[in-house]
Amino acid sequence: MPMTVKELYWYWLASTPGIGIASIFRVAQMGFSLEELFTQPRLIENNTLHFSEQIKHDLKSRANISLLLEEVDKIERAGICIRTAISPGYPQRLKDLWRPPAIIYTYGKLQNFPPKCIGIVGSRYTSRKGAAAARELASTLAEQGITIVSGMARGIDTQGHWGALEVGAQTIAVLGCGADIIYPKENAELYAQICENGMIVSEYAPGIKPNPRHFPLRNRIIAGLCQGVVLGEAGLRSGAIITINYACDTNRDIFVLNKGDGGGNQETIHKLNAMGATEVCDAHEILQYYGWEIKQNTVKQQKEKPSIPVGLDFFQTELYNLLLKGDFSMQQIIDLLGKSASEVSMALTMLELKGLIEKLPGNMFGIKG
Amino acid sequence: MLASVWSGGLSGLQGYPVHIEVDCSSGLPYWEIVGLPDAAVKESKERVRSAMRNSGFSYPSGRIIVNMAPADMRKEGPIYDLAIAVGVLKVSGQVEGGAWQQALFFGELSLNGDVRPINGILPMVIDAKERGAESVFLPAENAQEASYIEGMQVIPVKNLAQVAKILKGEEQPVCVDQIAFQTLKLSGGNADFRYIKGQSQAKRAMEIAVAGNHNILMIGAPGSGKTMLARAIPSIMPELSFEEALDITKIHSVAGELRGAPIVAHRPFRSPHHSASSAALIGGGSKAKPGEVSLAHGGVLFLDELPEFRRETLEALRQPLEDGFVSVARVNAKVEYPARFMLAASMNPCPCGYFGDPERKCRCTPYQISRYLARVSSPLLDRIDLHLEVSRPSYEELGKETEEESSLQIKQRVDAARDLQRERYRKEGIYTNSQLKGELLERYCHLQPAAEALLKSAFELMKLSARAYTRILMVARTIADLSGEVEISEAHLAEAIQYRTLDRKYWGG
Ligand SMILES: [Zn+2]
Repeated sequence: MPMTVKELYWYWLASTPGIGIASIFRVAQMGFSLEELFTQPRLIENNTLHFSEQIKHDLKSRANISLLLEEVDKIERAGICIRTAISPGYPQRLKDLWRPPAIIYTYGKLQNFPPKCIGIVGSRYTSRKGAAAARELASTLAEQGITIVSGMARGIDTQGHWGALEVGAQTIAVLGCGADIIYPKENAELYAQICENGMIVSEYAPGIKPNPRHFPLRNRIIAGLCQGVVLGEAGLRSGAIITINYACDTNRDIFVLNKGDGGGNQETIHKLNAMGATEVCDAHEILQYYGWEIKQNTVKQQKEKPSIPVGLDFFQTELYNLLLKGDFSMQQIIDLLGKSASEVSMALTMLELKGLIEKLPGNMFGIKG
Repeated sequence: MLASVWSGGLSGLQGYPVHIEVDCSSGLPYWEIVGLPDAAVKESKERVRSAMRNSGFSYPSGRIIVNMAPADMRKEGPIYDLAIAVGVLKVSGQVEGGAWQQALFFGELSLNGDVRPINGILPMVIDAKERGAESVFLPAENAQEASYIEGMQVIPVKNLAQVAKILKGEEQPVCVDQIAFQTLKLSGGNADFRYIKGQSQAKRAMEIAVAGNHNILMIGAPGSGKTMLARAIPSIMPELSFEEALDITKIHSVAGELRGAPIVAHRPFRSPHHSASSAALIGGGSKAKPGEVSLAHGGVLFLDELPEFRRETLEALRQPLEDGFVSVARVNAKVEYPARFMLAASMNPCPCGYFGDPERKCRCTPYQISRYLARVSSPLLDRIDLHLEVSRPSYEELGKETEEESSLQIKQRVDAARDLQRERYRKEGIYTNSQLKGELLERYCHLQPAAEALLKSAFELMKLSARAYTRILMVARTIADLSGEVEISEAHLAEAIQYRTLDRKYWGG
């Protein structure tokens, strides 16, 4: 849908670095329209607007319709959709935020914001258990038609997105840089898949580089887009806690993932409980919480935990049973089972080839899944 | 008047005889050395003159011409001082050389007449022996180096005056006792696997590596004992034969690395720092000396912190790894030094070192990790058959009171596996499984259908890279040899697959 003139004025203001929704409200409070501000540059000088010299200069130099149209055209030709806070495509939920973004840029196959969204956030540095738990939760929710929203950061964010993509579902990533920039670099494949199956969202103009100051602000958009936010594994000082605080301020439901196996950060769980978070041990509890219908027989359930493996010899069975208790290093397995390095190596390869176990960093081995 | 003296020279590791003629005639004082002398040889004039005067001899006035033959070989280093001094003493009639006409003289002179040690004694004395020489005058500090060359009378000397007395028959030469090689071997020892607690998989990997003469790469956090494991490798390598020991000693003698030892009786363990230059590692430089790869000949070259080595240095390793020798260019010739060694290398799993560590958190990004791993060039990785992940032993493991297997016990299995390989490859011109390629690989690493199927599914499931294929076959062949079996079974393959960590995609993924 082509931009209206009103939207264009809004774009002119909102895309100027240093101007947020608060500045735009101030213009409205002054009693004149954006059009008047645009056509009468002397109004920009008004002291009650508190514009810095730089902003004044930027605004004046871009107060030109054909120049703006050219800018917009260039962005849209790159496939990026501009949504100002007054555009029909702007997600209503974001307006619950205390300071919603005045403009967002979106990119990817998904055109509209889905009704059921759940955010998944957590630490960038995760244990294998924490990562697996987040991924599984995301998969199950996604299979039930819920869109997973996260920040494409390392760790839990990445797991959340992949969990959704793995079951063929859409997912939304909110970035702290321009929607055309891949950050962190190693998530290039993830970025491509999200574009193909979901949506990239950013309040920063295309081309803007990631900046540490952007990430806390990005987190408020994640909270804003969702009905509820799930905290996966995270320490109390993790950036994910910022998202939780935003979620709290915006009256979003907060869930904390606690599988009850001692995994996860107990300190964080206690703190969040005190904030009124709901402890959940799987996706179904979240679905029940909202009263969302649960569809049965989904892909993921069919490839559930391997049943009692067949065709294993005595030692392989013994080894498999040991790994069911947890992850162990090569040396621990050798010591606990009293076998030689050679015998253990062979058995591990055999179990791995049967798809029952997997090799983990640090020469550790664990049950696959 | 003319006097002649014998000495020797070095071309690479090969000694050759040098015949020195000293001519003295009346005239204005004049001194000239001809026969391609280098600067150090030319300077011997000053040392010879001072040494003679300070030892109570008179230095002849007049024209002295020293001719060194063969004239087309460059004479290098201060090793001819003693021989030239003896020539001057003879030509000026201050000593009679009659009984010692065929003896060889080696040594640098200090200004006060002391005879100082030189490098490269061993190959030169061996060459002299092969040409029928029976006695050699050597700096006392080098005497041990030549002590086990059978049938050679080795006369250690301390200073020029002593040499003169022996030549004049005023003093009886005290020859060095012949030392039996076997007794040398017993003295001094390597690290022993008995003293390394736990690390069962690492020890097993070392056993396989040595049994098949495979290169090995250890990956583990700092403090996981990678260096200790590497140091113990020579203790399970096959016994050195006398011939091998001589070859190794020649190299060390030429490089001046013997440090007073008579012979290298144990397999060398060389561990150059990662700041080492290509010349230091491969050999060459202004003196065309053997590098670390040659000093490690017959033993282990340990490259700690492999990714820290300069890229061109690692690239330069490929040629000796491929050919077993290096060619070093020198002024007017090229010399070859042997460089057949087992490569043991170590690296951290990531820049901070703690990727996968159960106790310390790694803060490296996957991008940083993949860049770090990429620093090890893939052509070098292609020459490394085993990858071994070494984890830090826990405190409980260190405190355990278990009896660990000694190096000797491991070595017996290694020896048996080596015997099998030597027998099998007798007609093929190779000795160990690590040398298998092409047609030989197909012939000797033939797989039964079941084993073939296992390997195929391993490639699909574990996403192994293509280069892993031949490496797994070769290592599986060695594992089969260690258990004395003719056919490579599924079990052997299954074990071998565990040693291809770096080919798997889980790293940082
Ligand atoms: Zn690290």
